[in-house]
Amino acid sequence: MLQARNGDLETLNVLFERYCGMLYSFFMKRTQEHSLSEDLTQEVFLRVLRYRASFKDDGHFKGWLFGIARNIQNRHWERHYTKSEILNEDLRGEKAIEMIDTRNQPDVEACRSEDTALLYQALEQLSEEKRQIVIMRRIQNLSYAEMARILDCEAKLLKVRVCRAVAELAKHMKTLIKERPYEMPGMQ
Amino acid sequence: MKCLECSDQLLAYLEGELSVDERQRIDDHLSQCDSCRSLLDEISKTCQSLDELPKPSETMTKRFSAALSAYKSGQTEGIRLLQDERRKKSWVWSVTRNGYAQAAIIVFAFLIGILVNESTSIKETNGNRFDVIETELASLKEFTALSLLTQTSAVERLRGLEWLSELNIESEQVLEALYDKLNNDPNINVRFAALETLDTYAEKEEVRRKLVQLLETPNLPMIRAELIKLLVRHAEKDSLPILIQISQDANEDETIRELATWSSQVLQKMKNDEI
Ligand SMILES: [Zn+2]
Repeated sequence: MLQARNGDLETLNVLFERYCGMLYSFFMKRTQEHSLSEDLTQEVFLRVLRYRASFKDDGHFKGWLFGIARNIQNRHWERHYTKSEILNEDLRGEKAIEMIDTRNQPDVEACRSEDTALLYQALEQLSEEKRQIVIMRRIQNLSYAEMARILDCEAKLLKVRVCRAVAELAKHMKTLIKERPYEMPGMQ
Repeated sequence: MKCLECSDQLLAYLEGELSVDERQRIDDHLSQCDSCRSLLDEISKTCQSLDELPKPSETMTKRFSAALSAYKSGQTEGIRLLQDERRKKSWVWSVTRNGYAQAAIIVFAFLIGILVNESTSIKETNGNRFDVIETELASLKEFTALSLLTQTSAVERLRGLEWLSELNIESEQVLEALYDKLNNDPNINVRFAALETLDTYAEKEEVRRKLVQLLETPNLPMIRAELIKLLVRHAEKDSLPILIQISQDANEDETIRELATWSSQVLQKMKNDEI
């Protein structure tokens, strides 16, 4: 990250490869919309690009990155909420309803199932390192060789690590399913 | 084989990432170990659920690279402009004859860059920092979106249009880019998207006037049809003459002629009702 801050923009490409999957899942958990999540992910990196000078290199790049992500998410909700309010007031009739409805189709319907919410919840219970490799391998479908290049470590080692992480994820899922009657999944 | 060794390889086993030998050893162990078999089952189920989640598209990384290089070239461009600006000042010119001045200008431009960055960081700590960030981001995004419109992949151009319609900027540059896409893009979907985006600007009279003009230029029949519908939707009565002309033009596509006839009647009626 220090390199990226010093103006080596290529480094940002590598950082993007490393974290875009995690950010995408972060937004998917919260918005349930595929293309919106891709856009918000891109937005996080545009901010990193623009404000990399203000990043203090104390080894907390991930924290900084997800801080930005949370800001963007809050910002998005704020804006979205105000927008639908204005629409309701200004247009009242059919058009307003139509426009709001199109925002919630069909992406949302497809993945708002309880199981999906539960899975995203379980993913967030993993440590960041584990979540990252599970997402890269099983959501982004990257090969072990690609992952090895991006993360700069051995492919053989990765096979074992991802396996352990998925096993842990399975455990979290089990626990969450047991708790289900007492806690609504997908709530934060 | 011990359980620990086996359990660490179960995912690779499922994914077909093991050699024949390794596979055989796992099979042997699984045939006599219940707990590893049930772990395999759990891992397999979890993988199935993960497979069902939506995936980020492959183009997401490419898109970011495109934005990045757009930003880069914009930065170089900015420095060049700044240099040109300085060169115009005579005192700079007089020094330029000395060889080192060129370097001095670059350093100067660089320092200004730093100053601009610094002042941004300072503002960031203030209360209204978000507004500053938002404004700057909007221009960065506009710039990126416009540069996406020049990409060779239609998917990228569509994404550029999507961004533009989200940003809703009323800059001349954006509108010009949209008119250009509407008339000249090789991909019909991009033309449609450009028209859709222009629809969001059609509240403005000058935009509608330009769209009426564009009706006189050749375009694909499907696009022309959508353009006519847009003008009727916005009750643009100034399109009446050209619509009547189209409805009577024997060289026009028949569907377009019918649509033009119908549209001119609707608009004429609106006009009459007004009077
Ligand atoms: Zn065993």
